[in-house]
Amino acid sequence: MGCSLEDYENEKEQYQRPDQQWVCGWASVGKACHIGPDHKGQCHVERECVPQHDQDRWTCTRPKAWGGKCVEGPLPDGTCPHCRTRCQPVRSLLARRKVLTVWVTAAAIGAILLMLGSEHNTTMISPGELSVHHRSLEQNCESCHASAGEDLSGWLHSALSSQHGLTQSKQCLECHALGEHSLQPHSVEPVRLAMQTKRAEDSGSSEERPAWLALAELGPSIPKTEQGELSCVTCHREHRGGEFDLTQISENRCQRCHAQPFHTFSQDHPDFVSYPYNRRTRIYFDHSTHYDRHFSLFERLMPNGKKPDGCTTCHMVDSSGTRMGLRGFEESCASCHAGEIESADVLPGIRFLALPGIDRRAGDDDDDPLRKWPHRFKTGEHVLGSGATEQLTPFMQIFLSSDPDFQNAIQTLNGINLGDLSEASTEQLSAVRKYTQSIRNLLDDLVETRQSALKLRLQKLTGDTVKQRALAVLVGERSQSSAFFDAVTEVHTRWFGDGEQPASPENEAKSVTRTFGGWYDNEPDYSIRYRPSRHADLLLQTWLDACCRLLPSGSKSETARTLQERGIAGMFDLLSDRSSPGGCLKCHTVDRQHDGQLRINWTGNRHEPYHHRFTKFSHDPHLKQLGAESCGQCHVLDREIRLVRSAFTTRDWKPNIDPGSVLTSGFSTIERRKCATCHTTRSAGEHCLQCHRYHIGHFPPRSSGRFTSGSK
Amino acid sequence: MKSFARRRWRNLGIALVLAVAILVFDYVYTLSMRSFSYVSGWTLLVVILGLAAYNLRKKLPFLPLGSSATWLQIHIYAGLLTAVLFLVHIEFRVPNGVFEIVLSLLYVLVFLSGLGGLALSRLFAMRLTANGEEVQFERIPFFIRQIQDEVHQMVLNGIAETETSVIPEFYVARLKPFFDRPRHVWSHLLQSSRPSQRLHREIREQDRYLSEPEREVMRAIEDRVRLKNRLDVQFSLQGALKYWLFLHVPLTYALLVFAVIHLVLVYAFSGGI
Repeated sequence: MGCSLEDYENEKEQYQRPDQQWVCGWASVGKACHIGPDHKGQCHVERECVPQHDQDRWTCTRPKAWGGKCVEGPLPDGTCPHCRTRCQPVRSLLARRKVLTVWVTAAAIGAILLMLGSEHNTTMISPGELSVHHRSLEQNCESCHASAGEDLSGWLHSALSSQHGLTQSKQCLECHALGEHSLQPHSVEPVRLAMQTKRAEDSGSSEERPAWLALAELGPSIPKTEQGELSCVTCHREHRGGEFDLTQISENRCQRCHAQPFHTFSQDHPDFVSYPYNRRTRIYFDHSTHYDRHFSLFERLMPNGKKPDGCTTCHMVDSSGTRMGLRGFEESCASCHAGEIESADVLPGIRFLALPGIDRRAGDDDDDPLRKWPHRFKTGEHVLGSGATEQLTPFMQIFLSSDPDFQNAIQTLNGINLGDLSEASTEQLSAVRKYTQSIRNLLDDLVETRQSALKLRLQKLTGDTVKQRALAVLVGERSQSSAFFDAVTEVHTRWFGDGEQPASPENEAKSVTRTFGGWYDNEPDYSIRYRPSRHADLLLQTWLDACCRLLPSGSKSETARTLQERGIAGMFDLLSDRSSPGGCLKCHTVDRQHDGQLRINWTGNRHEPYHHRFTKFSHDPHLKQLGAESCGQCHVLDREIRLVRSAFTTRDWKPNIDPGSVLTSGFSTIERRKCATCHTTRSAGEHCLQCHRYHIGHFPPRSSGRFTSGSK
Repeated sequence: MKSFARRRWRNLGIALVLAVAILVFDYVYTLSMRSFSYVSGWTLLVVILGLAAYNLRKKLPFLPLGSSATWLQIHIYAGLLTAVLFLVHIEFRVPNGVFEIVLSLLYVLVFLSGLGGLALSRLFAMRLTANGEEVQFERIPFFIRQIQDEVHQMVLNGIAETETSVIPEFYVARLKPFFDRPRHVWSHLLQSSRPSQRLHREIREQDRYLSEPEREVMRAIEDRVRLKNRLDVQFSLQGALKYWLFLHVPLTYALLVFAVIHLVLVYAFSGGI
């Protein structure tokens, strides 16, 4: 009963040209004409058919859809008698799709132009929020992107440039000061990095490379410039939202560059070689000797002392929580060692000022200044070391070296024994007079102008090397106030008289030693000496620091040439001698630095806030986790090695100034497997950045002055 | 059918292998301190241009560029692969800048419309075959008009022969709108026969008002209703197969425009590779 479309398949001449742009307007109602619109979409049909001329007659060709052949037929002139209203051609599906495509593309271009041309174009094209640290730069794209201030043509130009990577990195460095070799791997100079790489390669690795890294080596190389520089964006990707960590990086990426790759820290990270010790300690302290001998015999050796209960008696976590610092002399050492300093009254003090002695027979007559010189050797007395310079204290050598007359006199008196002037020439005797007069002048200055005289002389010698504050300490302004000058005044009166009172009789032995604070006059050798009364004596500390600063780089006292240099070197030797009162350098080490200057370590390991090392470790969380007295779990005392004294003093008991002379503090190197007990992937974590930094060096903060608020 | 299945599995296998290779290469490339986004971006752009070239290929059948069927296969599986490339390119994160959100949305729309078109071409093709006759989409209005004219004539003849107006009234009220143009497009897309069944039910309900000769006429009309219904199914399904490209093609060009500008911006603001 059903019918099918075959029953209607009797008209095959229907107009069907879907690939053309325009179709007949009647097609949608099934009455499309057989001619169709032109390519411009215009309908030219006016009649219902185009009569066909067949021999001598015209035949109607009206399609069946329009009613088939008409009864009337065409007119004799071949015109169809039936008019037809023109249709409104419509676009084919294909054409409509094409038009829509054009419109959508135009809309896309329009939208882009609107975005780029708007006031907030940078917000529009920004690929995402900045991290919270850079949030203030969101409206200031030029801070990081060199081409941000340009237009589309400028961007095209930048896009084709090959140097924008490094140009952009330099923008980063405007704020992030990372040293001289910022863009080098690890911000370290290439030579040093090459040395460490070679060391790692030579040590070799028996473990096979992780598979991913072996595969990566087949891939592209690391993107570096010819100078080996990396752009910042190699590791740091911005525009990932406020909470994104710019410093995050996978362990495998870290290892891509390293000569000794490994799988995980707990599994096969290279063992520690000397961690954490890369130099000797700054304070000479032998833990083994103290633990095994001194502390075990405490009651007998130091009955009044306080024995430490544990490591934390002497050590404490610093304010940053990272390092263990020392509690200080008073808390840690004073109970046993303060007496050594305070009981220095049994030792002779340091000779600061001393009158040299001369031959008592010198001088033409009683009015000759040489006859009036207070310190004259007895007849026949031969005093060793009685040369002109030898008798001078280093202090006096320093302050007299600015006197040209004294300099000339010293040169003339070179090799002369002041204790025997019997064969001295007239010239030499004259030099002796100048010599003694200069010393007298110095003492007169000290009495009359006190600190000013010394400051003037010292400033002439040191220039800006010694700061004003230190200068004040050196000349006794700050320590013991005017005690030194009171002492000088006292002895000056005694030695030379004050015009009203005569000088004291020569060589008159006195049984009482006068004291002026830490200063005292020692009459038998015509000297003023100093003794420290407590630890951290400011005068001695400042003089030692000044000597280190003033000593020419690389010089030793034996090689000192000028009187000034000999004085400074002599002062240093005097104060650093192991028998020197105070014994500062018995415990405080002296380091020669990279520039050759000496530096005394008055404190233990200091926290350098802007110094970034390869390895970082924070004690606080570990102590909290393991317990305050868990130090021994990591720091194991190595009783096989005593901290040898040769690492701290030379054979002649001078300070050893090489900080790398020994790489231990008396403890064994920390073993990696101990760290790996907790630091696994499932436990405390073992990511590279937990313990290592990338940017190494000294990076003090720098302000670019770019982010002023503009407020008045 | 076996060859279709074999071809599908083969092409799917190749696409999977390529997808895994992309992921592996991404990881390895990233290990070398480089950004794979540059490589994936360029690859994505080139692949999308290649996919867009399929439209051009169809317009140049006379050139020896391979068969359209092969191009279609490449278009489908390369299109699927662009999803992997895209996810790798955006590093599996949701973009959060205005421009990049628009760009990503455009890609997603193009991809989903492509997937939709692929699904339609598979599902609707089967349904069209099950529907019975094949008919050209452009000829459907012609057939509808002929059926409409025929039914109209049948109703007019019925008025002359019978004295009741049940059929004419029913024709004017329900059948004429039905025969005027394609009907129930969405129902046919969703494979719902409810509207046509309702019409048939209404036709049957007229039986009690009709005489025997009138019932004959109504049966004949009902046959045309069924035929018209089949034409409507053809119109809906074939129309969908043609109109989905109205989404896919224009969005592709918009995507290409945005992609080119994205390329310029990336290199202009790049800090290195």
